[in-house]
Amino acid sequence: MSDKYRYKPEIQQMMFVSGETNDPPTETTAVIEDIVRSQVVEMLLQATAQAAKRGSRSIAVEDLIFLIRHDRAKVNRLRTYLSWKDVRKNAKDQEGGAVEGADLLEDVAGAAAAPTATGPADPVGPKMKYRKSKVKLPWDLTNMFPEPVPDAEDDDGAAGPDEDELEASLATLQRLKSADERTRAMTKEEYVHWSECRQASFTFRKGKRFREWAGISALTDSKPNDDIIDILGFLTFEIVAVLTEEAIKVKEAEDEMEMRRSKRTKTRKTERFLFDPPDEDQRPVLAKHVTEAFRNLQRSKPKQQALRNFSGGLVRTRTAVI
Amino acid sequence: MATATPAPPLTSATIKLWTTGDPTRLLHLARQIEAHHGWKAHLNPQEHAVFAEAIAEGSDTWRSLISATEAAKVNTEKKALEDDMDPVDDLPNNQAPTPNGVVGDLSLHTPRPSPTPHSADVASHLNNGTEQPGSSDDNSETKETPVEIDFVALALKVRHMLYAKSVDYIFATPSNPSSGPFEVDFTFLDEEDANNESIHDENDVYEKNKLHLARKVDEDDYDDEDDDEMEDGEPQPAKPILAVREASPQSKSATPSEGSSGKRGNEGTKSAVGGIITPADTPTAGEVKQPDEAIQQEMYSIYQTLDADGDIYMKHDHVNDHESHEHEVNINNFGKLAQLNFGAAHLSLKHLLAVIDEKRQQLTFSDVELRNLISDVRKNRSKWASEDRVGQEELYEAAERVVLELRAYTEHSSAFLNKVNKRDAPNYFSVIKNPMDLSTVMKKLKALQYRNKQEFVDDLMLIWNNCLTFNTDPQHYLRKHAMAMKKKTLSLIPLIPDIIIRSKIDVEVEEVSIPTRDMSVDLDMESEDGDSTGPNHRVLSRAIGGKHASKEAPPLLHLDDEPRSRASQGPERRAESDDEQQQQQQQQEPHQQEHQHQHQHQHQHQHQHQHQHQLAFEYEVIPTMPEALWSISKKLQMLENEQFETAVDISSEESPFLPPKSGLTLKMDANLTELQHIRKVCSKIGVIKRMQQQPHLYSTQLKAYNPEKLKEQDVDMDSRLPGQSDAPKEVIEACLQKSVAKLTMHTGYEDCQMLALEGLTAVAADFMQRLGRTLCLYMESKRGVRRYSLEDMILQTLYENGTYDLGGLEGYVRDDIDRFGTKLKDVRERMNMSLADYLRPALTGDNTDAHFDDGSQEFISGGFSDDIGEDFFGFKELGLDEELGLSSLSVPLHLLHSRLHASSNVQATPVLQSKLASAPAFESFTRDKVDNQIGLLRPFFISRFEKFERDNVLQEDEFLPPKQRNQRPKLPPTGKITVAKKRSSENSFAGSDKKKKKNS
Repeated sequence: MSDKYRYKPEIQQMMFVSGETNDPPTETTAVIEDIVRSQVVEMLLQATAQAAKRGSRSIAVEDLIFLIRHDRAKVNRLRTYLSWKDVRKNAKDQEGGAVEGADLLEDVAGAAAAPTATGPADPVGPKMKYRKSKVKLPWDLTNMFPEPVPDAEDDDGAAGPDEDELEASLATLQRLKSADERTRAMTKEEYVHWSECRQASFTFRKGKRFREWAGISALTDSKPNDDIIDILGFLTFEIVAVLTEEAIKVKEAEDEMEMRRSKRTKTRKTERFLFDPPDEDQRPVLAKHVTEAFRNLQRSKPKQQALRNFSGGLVRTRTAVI
Repeated sequence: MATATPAPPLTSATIKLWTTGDPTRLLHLARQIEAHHGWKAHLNPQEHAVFAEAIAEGSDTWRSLISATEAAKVNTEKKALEDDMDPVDDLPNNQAPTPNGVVGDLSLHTPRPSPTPHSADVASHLNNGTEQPGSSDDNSETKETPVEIDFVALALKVRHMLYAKSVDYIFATPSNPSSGPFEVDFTFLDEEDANNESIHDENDVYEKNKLHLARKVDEDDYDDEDDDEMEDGEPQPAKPILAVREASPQSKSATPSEGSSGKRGNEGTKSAVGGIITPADTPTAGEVKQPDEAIQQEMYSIYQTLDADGDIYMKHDHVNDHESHEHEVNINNFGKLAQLNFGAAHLSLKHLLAVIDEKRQQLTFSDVELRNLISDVRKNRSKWASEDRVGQEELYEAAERVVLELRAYTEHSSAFLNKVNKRDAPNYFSVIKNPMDLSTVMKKLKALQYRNKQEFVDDLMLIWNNCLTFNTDPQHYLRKHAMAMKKKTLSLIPLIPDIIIRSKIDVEVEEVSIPTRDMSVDLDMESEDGDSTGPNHRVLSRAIGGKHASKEAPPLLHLDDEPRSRASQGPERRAESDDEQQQQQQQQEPHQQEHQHQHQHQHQHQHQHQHQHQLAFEYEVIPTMPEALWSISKKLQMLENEQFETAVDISSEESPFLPPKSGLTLKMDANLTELQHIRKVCSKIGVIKRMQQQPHLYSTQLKAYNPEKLKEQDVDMDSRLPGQSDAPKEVIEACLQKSVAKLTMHTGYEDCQMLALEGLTAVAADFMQRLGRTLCLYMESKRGVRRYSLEDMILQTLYENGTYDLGGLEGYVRDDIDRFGTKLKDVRERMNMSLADYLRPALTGDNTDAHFDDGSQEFISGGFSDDIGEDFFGFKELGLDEELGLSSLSVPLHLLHSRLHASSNVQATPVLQSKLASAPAFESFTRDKVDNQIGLLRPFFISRFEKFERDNVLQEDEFLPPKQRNQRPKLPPTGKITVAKKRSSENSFAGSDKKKKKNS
């Protein structure tokens, strides 16, 4: 392919954050980039279809969220992420740009790149009054009634976390936990590096490049606005993270198989020499792992096939959005 | 005794005359008849001669005559016979000399063998009869003169005369005074009775009586046929025996009836007699005819007999053909209309329309309604469908497709997509006078500017031709494109249906005129003539379904009517027909034109038809069991219920058709009630919001949301009877549907289309089936030892069918039901709080001044309504007053704070102005001042006065409430007049999405 792989560094960073400590070879990143791109295309197509059902030509935020509605944790994370964007905007307005953009950006970027942040780290000082406006989901219970339901208000005016969010954040918590474990042993520089890697995004400040790369103009009539691009950036991060995790699992499973086989044939190396290359270096996540991971993720669940159980026919599947 | 005397009382003896058939008595009667010359109407001279002879002779001859069993010898004078015979000879009767009959004198020879086998027996029998030798001489003498008397016929005639017609003479009717009724003296009977006990052969008599009676009954039947035959004058196969005098209908009818009843007789006689019309003079014919007719008339007035119906039926058939033709044409027109109107999807509706046409009679709709109904259905399908224009849809659909196709022909079409730009071709518009392009064509389509295919095609060709005109260089690339496009167009054009769009009215008028054209060509020529539009009116009224469109043309047939009970229509129709008859008679005078006659004739036809229709309907057997008997009275219903209850025994167990009162059901029910509460609160909030926005809110606009408490209703009584099958299919399906509906309600939907619900139910049923089948598969799989334990099997089944595991099910219950419930409660609380917010006084201190300034607060708050006692805003209906503890039914002030703002603003300025000297107000413009105005303006003012229904004062704009002012749109700086779209508060994305969901 004459495709120039443009996002290699970002992907590498994201993989690093998601658990892959070694440098992934170019192959792997190439595969991942391809997968991500196809996913983005798929998402845009489905979102356009969704918007068309509504009668509108342009994609809205809710259309994209609709695609991932089944994964509650992700939805919540996404909503949090978006609300931080609002915070950022409000902060800019209120501060009138007095605060340095960099600081603000860093802080907020840090908050954004850590979408699992549960509590605001008090961004720019006590002066700022921020409003976290959450995207209203049309399929939510609160929107089912003719009158808009006011948000539940606590005393301090901040919206309390819904039970839902708490419940659904199991996966989030797990990630946090693993991240915590990893960073526990880090030094300061390492941690800085880590946090920088966490900010890796396909779209952050690279909107144009992203649009070009994804070929958005060919997909939709209308130009998606920045919100959409941001969401896509978030989602792509998630995709890479998920892929990496899966790939690692695949790799480990494979290694285990190898080990078992090798147990039978060879004796285990119990000695470790000083100059042995690090174990894991020899085993970075390979492209085949990634493809296998992707395949696993694309496996159709029984739920989707249940209605076709006793009937025959050609099964046409769409690429599932991870 | 020529005068009519009251009939002698019919003693039993008298009656016995006929019942016994005693020849002696008959003889007496005959003699009496003879004495009174009553025979004249029935017998011709020869017969009479025989008759007289027989009478004179006495019993034996008489008997034989009556019985026609033997040849009797009658001695009459040859002379008399000869005299009689001469006129007979001259009588032009087409009687072929038959071997029958007797030649010569009135020695009653046996008739020669006659064609009918039965009579052959008779003949042979007769042949065996003795022949009087003495008469042979006579015979020989008179052999030349063919006098043929069929004695059987004669006998029958005589009998007929004696039995049937003598009755007439006994009872003189006023209608036939000229018949000279005479009183037959029946006294002899009494004597006879005593003396003569000889009774004839009972069988014979009985048979004869039977036949006679039958004859009597059938007599009338044959009238018709005789009439017809008479009219048609069909040549009858000539088997004339005698010169039959076609004297009267009676004899005519006598003979066929004789012929029919006397099967022994020649069948030929009947036809022979029937067909022959001899111009014999029958002095009494006319006289005798009348009583019959009179009797007939009377009979008809009492009984509806089938007499007249015969010919009416025939005419009816003619008319029916007309009618059915017309109706058929109408139906066809309907079908044609169907084609016209519903063209584009005609194919799909074709069968539906065909079935509708077939069953048209059964429909209660009128034509118009049907058409509207179908076009409503159709309207949803095509954006081009239009009620007012016929054919638009199809034409435009096709045209649109063609245009799109041309546009999509990308290699060549790009130059023609849009208008030619002046910059691109500077002198284009000087060369080309009518520029055209595909987008303009599209625009014209959308603006419905094309009225037929030709216009559309012309426009398309204009595009290509313009190009060819402007680009003259043969090598020009645009020419190639234009040619290619032209070619493509020509290939596409044949696919467009050649329809001319006409407005609906024109079509109807056309359609109407079509059937009348069939009926009479003249009629549609004179369409201006008021009366000739009668049929137009008529048909129009039928076509459009209007009843009694014009007084002079009431609807013909009541086929289009709703099926009211026909019985009730009877007298109505009779009245109608009477009216019609009168009208007809009235109409007949002024209109002498030919087509008017035709019109009348038609009218009459159909009128008769109508009349006939009435008759026909009365012949119909209507089950006359009155409805009332069948309707179950209350008592009966109670009895039924009791029986049901004993049979069903409700209380014992739970009905298998209801969901069990277990935990999940209860939770769901609780959730559902929560939803209802929430919706109620929402409606209240909505009302309050509306009140804030609209200045005038009428109580009719407010609709309280009062949902009923959900109640699970069990299956109907019938299905619960013990005899019923355990799992009736429909009941179970209905149960499932109910459950599914409940689930949808639980999800939050207020409403559900039946189709969607049925779809969901089908899917649910499918799913359960699959579960079962999967489980079956597992259970039946034999692999030596059963692979799975029961538990495993169930889990596996669940997994394969979509629910991953029990955890999933549990998760559903937990999340979707329990937590849902808590969320609902949460939502409800929030709503209540917001409601309270709305109602809480929200006034700040600023407005307090404004309160006291103006005394018109009362009007704003509606406080005065308390005095009247009226619930001005309908709060009682909403239940708001109880809930909020409103003591007064006026609007709480704080709700109007927005308006108070406005009012206070308004009041603020007058406060300022009052410091200045106010200019004197204008005089009010009253009605009497109109005349002083300019003539041009007078009608305007008058119309304004009328519009506002005020006689005295027209208010200036300033004083009118803002709503009534003539509001002109204000031009924004851009100068473009735009109509602002109303956007409700929930038109955010979330709102609109939700709305779409709700609207399903």
